[in-house]
Amino acid sequence: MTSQAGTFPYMRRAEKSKLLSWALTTDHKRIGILYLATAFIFFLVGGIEALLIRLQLAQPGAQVLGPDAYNQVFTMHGLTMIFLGAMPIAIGFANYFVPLMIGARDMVFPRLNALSYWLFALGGLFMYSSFLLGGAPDKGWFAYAPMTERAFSPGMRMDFWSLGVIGLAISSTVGSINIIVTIFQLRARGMSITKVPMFVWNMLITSLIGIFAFPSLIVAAALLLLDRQLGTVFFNTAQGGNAMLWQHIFWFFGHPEVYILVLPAMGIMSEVIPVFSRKPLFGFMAIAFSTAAIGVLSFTVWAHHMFSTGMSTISLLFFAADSFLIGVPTGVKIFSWLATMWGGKLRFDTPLLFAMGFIVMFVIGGITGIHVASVPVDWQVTDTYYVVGHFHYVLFGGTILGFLSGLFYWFPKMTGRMLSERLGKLSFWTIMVGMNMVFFPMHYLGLAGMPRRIYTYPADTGWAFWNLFETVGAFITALGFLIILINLIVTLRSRPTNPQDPWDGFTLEWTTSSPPPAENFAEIPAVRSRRPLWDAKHPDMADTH
Amino acid sequence: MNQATTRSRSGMDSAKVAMLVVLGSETFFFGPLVSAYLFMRGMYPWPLDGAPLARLAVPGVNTLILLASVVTMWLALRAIRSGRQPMLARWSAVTLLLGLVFVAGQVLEYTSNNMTPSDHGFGGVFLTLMGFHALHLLAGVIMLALVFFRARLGDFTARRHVAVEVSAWFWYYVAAVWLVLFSVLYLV
Amino acid sequence: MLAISAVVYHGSGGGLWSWSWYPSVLAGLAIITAVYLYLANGYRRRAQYGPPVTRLRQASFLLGNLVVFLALISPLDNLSDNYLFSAHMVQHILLIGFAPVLWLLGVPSGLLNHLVRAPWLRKFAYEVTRPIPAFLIFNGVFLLWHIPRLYNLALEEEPVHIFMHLTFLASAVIGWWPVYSRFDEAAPRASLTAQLFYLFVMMFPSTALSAWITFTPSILYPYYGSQAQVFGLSPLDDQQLSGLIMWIPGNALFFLAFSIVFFQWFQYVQRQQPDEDAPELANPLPKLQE
Repeated sequence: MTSQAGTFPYMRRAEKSKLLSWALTTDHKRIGILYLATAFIFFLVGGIEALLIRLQLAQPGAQVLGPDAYNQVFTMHGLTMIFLGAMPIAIGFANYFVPLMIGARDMVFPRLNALSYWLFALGGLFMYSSFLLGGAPDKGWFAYAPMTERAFSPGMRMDFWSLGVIGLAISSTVGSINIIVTIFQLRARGMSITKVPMFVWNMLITSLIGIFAFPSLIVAAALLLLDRQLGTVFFNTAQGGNAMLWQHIFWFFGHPEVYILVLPAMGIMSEVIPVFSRKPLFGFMAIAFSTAAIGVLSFTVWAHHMFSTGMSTISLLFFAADSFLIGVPTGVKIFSWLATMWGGKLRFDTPLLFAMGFIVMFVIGGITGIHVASVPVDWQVTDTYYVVGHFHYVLFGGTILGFLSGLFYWFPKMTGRMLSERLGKLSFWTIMVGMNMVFFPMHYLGLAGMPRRIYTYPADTGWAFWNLFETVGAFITALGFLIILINLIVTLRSRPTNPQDPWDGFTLEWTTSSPPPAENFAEIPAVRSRRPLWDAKHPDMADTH
Repeated sequence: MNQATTRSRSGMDSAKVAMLVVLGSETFFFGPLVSAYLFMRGMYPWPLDGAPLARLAVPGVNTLILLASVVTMWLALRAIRSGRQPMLARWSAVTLLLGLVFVAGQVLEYTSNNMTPSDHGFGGVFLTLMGFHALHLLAGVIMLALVFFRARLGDFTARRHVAVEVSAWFWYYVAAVWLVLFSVLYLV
Repeated sequence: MLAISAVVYHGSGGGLWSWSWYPSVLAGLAIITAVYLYLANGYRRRAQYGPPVTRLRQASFLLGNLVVFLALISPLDNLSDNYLFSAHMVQHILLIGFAPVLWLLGVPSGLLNHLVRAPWLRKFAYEVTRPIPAFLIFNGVFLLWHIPRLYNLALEEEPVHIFMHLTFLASAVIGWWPVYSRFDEAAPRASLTAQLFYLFVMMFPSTALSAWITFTPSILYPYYGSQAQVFGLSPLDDQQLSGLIMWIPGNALFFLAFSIVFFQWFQYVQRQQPDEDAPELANPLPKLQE
C-alpha cells in the first residue's frame, strides 16, 4: 500500500508532518503539483523581469536599469521563462496526467521522479543566487562564445550559467527518461501506443526529442566551463578552437528545444479542442505522424539560427528549404484542430477560449517564422525585434496560452474545485489584448531597425511611441495574470465541490475522483478506443477502434 | 510497489528499457563531443604547433585491457545465466578491477606527457573526451560494485538478474565508445 | 564480380560528358542480371522454392542495376572521378541509397533459405543483418571511407576505388536490410517499432559527417582541389555542396523510409485486437474513493 509520503518505511513519520510529506513525496500527482507551483512562481518572477525590461524601454534614455543590470535581467528573463517556467510546467502536467491517462498508478521510477523535481527546484535557486554572488548571467540565454569566455566575461556569472544549465538539463533528461519508460511500460490493457491520448503521445515525442537534445546542451555548457576554468581552447579561435563551434553545438540542442517547448502545449490543444467541440480529434494518424516528423526533422535544421554567420549561398539555400519543410507538419496540426471544431457543438468555456487564442497567436508566430526562414528577410531582421516578436508569439501566444487552457481544463481534477469562469474569461481577454499590444508592434520596430538586447535607444529613432505602447500592453498583460492569480487563490480557499467529470470528458483521468486517490484507480481499467470514457458513457455511439 | 514487474507492455523489464533510453541519450552526448573535436581538426593542422602526438603504447595497452574487461563482463553474465552466483561475483570483480586499471592508465597517460588543458588544443581535447569517457567508466565501475555486493548476498537467480544485464550493456557501451574515441584521436 | 577484371578503361578522353565504359562493370552487371533472371524465373519454377516473382519485383531489381549503370558508366562517373566532389557525392548516394534498396525489394523471397544451407552460415547471415550490427557495418564503412587519407587514396588508386564502391554496395545492402529484407524466415526485417528507431538513428552519422564537410573552411580532400573547375564552382563551393547533398537529400532517404514505416506501423498497431477478456470500462461515475 503506497502512502502519500513515499515508499520508504521510515517515512511513515512524514505522514504526521504535512510539509515533510510534500518534501519527501514520490507520488506523481504531488510531484506534478510541485512542478506546476514552483514553475508558476518562477514564471511570475520572469514576468517581473519582463516588466522591468519594458519599463526601461518605455522611454528613450530611461534610467530604470543601468546597462549591466539590464543585461542580467533580460538574460535571466529568457533563462527563467524557458528552463524554469515553460519546461517545468509541461513536465508538471505530464507528471500529473500521463499516468492517469494511460491507466497507471504512478510513473515507473517514482523516486527518480522526485529527484528530477528537486534538481529543477534547486537548480533554479542556484541560478538565482547568482544575483547575490556577483551578478546573474548577463550574456543572453544562449551565451555565445567568445563573449562568454573568461576574457570577456570575468567573474562567476557565466559559470553560474554553465553549472545551472547542466543541472537543469540533467533534471530534464532524467524526467524525460521516466516519461518515456512509463509510456512504454504501463499502458492499460487495450491501450496500444496508437490509442494513447494525444497529450500522452506529444509528451512521448517531446521526451524523445529531449533525451537526444539535452546532452548537446550539456556538452556546450561543459566545454564552456572547461574553457573558462581550466583553460581549454574549444571556443578560442586564436588558439586552435573555433567560436562557431559554440553555435553549432548549442543550436543542435537549441532548435529541437523550441519543439520541446511547444509540443506539450499542442498536446493540451489536442485534448481540449475535441472535448469542447464534442467530437473526436480529426486526423489522429496525421497528427501523430506530424508530431513524430517534427521530432525527427528538428535535428537537421539547426543552421537556420546561423544564417548571418557567413555561410555560403549554397548552404543558406539548403537550410532555408529544410526550414520551410518543417513548417508543413505544424500546419497539418492547425488544420486538424480547425477540422475538429468544424461542425462541432462548441462550448466557449475558458479552456476553449485559450485554445482558440493559441491557434490564432501560433499561426501568426508561425507565419513570421516562415518569414525569418527566408534568408534575405532574415538578413535584415535577425537580432532585431522582429525575431523577438516572432518567438514571443509562438512561445507566449502558443505555449503559455496552451498551458493556461490546460490549467482551466485540469484544475478541477487536481484540486476538486472549479476555477471561476467569469474571472477566467476576463483574464483571457485581458491577456489577449495585452499580449498583442506588446508583441505585435515588435515586428514593425524590428523592420524599423531596433536591435534586440539594447538597454536604451536615442529619442530621434522614432521608436519611442511603440515602445511605450508595448510597455502599457505589458502591464495590461500583467493585469491579466493578476486576475488569474486571484482566481487561483480565491478558488483554492473555497470549499471543494469535487466535480469528477465537469467537462464531460473522453479520457481516463476523468474516471477518478477529483482529486484522485493515492493509487489513482481502484481497478486498472481496460480500454477499447482512444476515448474510453466516451465509450462508457455512450455505448451506442462508441468509437469503433 | 514496483509496477514494472506486474505490467510491462513492451515485454521487457523497465530497467532494461530505461538503460536503452540512457544509452541512446549518451550517444547524443559523445556524438557532439566527438564532432566538436573533428570540427577543430578540420580547421587547423593537427597536432598544432608541432606538438608531439601521444605515443600509442599506453592507449594501445588500455584498449586491450578494456577489451579483456568486455570478455570478463560477458563471462560474468554467462555465469549468472546458468545460476552460478559465485562466478558472477568473481568475474564482475575482475571486470571492475580492469576498469580501474584502465582509468589509472589514462591518468598516467595524461600526466606523463605533461599535457595541460590549454596546450595546443590536444591537451584540452584529451582531457575532455577521455575525461568524460573515464567518468562514464567509473559509473560503470560503481554499477559493477553494486552487482558484486548483491551477488555476494545472493540476490540474483538464473532467471532474474536484470541489474547484471543492464550493467553489462552499459559496460559494452563504454567499451564501444572507447573504440570510437581511440580511433578518432589516435588512428586518424 | 565487378572486380573480376582489374583492367579498367578510362573513357575520359572525350571530355566532360564522356561515358566510362568499364568492361568490368559492364560484365559484372550483365552477369548479375543474367543470374538474377535465371534465379527468379526458370530456376524458381524448377526448384519450387517459392511463388512466382512478380514483374514489379523483377523490374525493381533490374532498376537497381540500371542505377549502378548510371552511377558508374554514365558521364556522372567522369564528373565524379575527375572534376567534382559534389558529383561524386551524387554517385555515392545512388550506390548507397538507391541501388541496394531496389535490389533488396527485388530479390525473390525464400532465396536465402534455399541457397544457404550450412547452419553456421545461416546464423551468421541472421546476426549480421540485425539492427545493431547492420547500423555499425553501414556507418563504419561509410565513415571510414570519408577519412581524408583514405578517400584521397581511393581517388588516386583505381583498385582501391573499386574496392570502395564494392564495400559501399555491400554495406548498404546490409544497412537497409532491417527495413527492406524479403527473407522472412532466414534473416527477417526488424520489427516495425525497431525500424522507426533504426531509421531515426541512421540519420545522425551522416548528419555529423555532412555538417563537418559543409562547414569546414578548408579543403578536406586535396584531390578535388587540384582538378579543373567546372560550372563556376570553386573547390570550396564544391565541397560545401557535397556536404549539403549528403545532408539534406541523403537524410531525406531515411526520412522518407521513416514516414512510410510510420504509417505501416501505425496501422499495424491499430489492428491489434484488445484482450478478449478485458472488462468493459465501468459506468462512468464509480463510487468515490476516500
